[in-house]
Amino acid sequence: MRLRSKAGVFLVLVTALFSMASASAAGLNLDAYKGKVVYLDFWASWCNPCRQSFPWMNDLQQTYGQQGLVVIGVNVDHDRQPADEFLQRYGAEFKILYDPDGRIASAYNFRDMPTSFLIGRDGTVHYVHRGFYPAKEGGYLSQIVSLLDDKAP
Amino acid sequence: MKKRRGHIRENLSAFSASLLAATIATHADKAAAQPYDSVDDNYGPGVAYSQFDNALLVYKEAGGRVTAIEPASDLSVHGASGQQLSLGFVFDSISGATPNGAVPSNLAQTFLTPLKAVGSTTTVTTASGGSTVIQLPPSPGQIAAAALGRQYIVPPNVLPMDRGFRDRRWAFTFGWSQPVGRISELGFGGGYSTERDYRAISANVHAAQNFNSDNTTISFALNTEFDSSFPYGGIPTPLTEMNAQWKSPTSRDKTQIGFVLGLTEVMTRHWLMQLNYSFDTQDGYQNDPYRVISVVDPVSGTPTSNLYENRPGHRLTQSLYWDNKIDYGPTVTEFSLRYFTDSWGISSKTAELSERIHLGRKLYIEPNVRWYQQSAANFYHYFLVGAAPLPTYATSDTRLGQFTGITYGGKIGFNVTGNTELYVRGQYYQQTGNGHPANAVGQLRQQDLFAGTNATFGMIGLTWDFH
Amino acid sequence: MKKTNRFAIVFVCAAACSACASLGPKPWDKDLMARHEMQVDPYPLQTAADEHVYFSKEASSGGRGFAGGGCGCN
Repeated sequence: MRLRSKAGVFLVLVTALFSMASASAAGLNLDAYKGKVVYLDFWASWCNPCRQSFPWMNDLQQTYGQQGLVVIGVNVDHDRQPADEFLQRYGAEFKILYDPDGRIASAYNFRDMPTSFLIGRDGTVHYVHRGFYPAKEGGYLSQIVSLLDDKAP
Repeated sequence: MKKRRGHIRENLSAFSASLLAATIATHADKAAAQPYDSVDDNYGPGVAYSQFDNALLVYKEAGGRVTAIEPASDLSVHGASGQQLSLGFVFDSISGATPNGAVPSNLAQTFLTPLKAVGSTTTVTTASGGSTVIQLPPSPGQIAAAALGRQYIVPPNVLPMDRGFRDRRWAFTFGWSQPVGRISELGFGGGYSTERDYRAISANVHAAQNFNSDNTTISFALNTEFDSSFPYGGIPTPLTEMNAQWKSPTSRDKTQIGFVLGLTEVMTRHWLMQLNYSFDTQDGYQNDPYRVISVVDPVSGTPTSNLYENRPGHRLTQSLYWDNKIDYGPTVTEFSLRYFTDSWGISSKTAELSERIHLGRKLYIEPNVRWYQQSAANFYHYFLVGAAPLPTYATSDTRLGQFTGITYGGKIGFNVTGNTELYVRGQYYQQTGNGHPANAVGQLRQQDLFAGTNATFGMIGLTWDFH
Repeated sequence: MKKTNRFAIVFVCAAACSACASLGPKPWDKDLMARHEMQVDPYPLQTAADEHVYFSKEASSGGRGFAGGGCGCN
């Protein structure tokens, strides 16, 4: 792991020790996506509702990518193989992150699987989707559209 | 879905850009991906699906005793929002010989029981033999003109068994449960079971609440059952001589009410634990109307008469059940303990262990063992002695006696597709107990008075998930 | 059963409940709990058949539970 400074080393150690203690100890750098709307979805191969959410998220990325929507799927499987099998079967047309040790998950510290965080152009979390329900897709979409309509601050 | 404006601010991370670059993979081109298909194996919690279970149980006791065949079906329909409808059906066909409760004797013994129906001229048994229809002398005060009875003779030094045992039972169950408001699960259900000489109607309500990110669940179920016993020959007067007369009343009932309080806890990523406390009271007729207990001569130990048994009309039971499932590596271990106690003086301990070993991705074997030990009811007697006064309650049913039961077995399961599984299971159950109690007199000392069972039972089942 | 024994059992259960209130894996570590064989009663017909056999040959019955476990999805 290449680090920028001694302060960075210290921060990493502190984060590693207390990564579960505070939501502000984030394990994911979303700086690159400031100004865009990020749909950060935590998924796993063993999570049945994720099998329904993937096609919907694929549609999302395809339809709204040009307007600045970035879908990121963070996988929390302990092993890579079941995750890859899931992806092979259901297909993901959006960015996938692997978080086998649960560090990113701990930093966001959610209580349901799957959980999605809807992050606005200002880089803050505006909505949290606890679980995935096909019946609520319309509601999810209207929130996304409202965030896309906000111009970057 | 929740809205949390401004409560969480995602700050700069200490992770470097290069680490991020190393972990992000773009899967924009997934040419190899199959399109999502709703017929796929996406079953389980959180999505709507149905499960259809079918199984066949085959049971056979050693020594020509009871054999049974029991096909069963269960349909569970799971809704997208956690609703569940269950329907179950069981059919049971039982036949064979069963101990009638009398002790073996060094002399042949004759037993008289009523014929199946008043006025019937047919024997109860056919090829399995042993019984004959006999003409009875009329006696005053009879309820019905049972001029015919059934008689069977048991040779010397053989445990007396009634070979005319044949029954068929149908049972239906249903259940509904769903989340209600903030309550994780509320439900109710019922059942109905009917056979030639017994009927049971049951109902239950239950509630469950999840806490601690669904790691902890507290559950409570209240259940009640109303049973009617209408044995052929009528309800015998307890502790009277066994005879072929039709008796009165023709039926008697029993009411049961109880609850189960449960705690289910996901202890670690690998370990699921359950702790349940059950409490039950039963009031009413609890005798086995066909069962007798021998009265023997105090010196020779030869049976002189057979009396219908008698059990108390009230029974209170409690049990504590602790179950653990541990998934570690290629194996899943299940280990459980149960302690049971009741107001009849019976206490029992049960320990079960099974180990599922995965062989590849589709096949598993699962050997299991069960150890069970129970103490006798305080009114259990191997026999009654002629000289002594009659007790209020007495039974010689091994089911209420002291014994140890050990089961060995195994199961093989094969994952046909997704969550569709075929399994075969075999078990060997052996009861052991003391056949030579210290109080055996005369010829009884030479007899084995333990009437427990050795049984082999097997099951084949298919679980099929579908939309 | 004596009254004191009965209360002792209930107390143990209550104590177990409160101790369990913060135990357990994080929601993203429930992969093994999602497996079919790790459910509370994955083979209800098998359980029913076993209970039927033992109920007809023994004095004890029941005690099993019905809820809980699982991956906690949705």
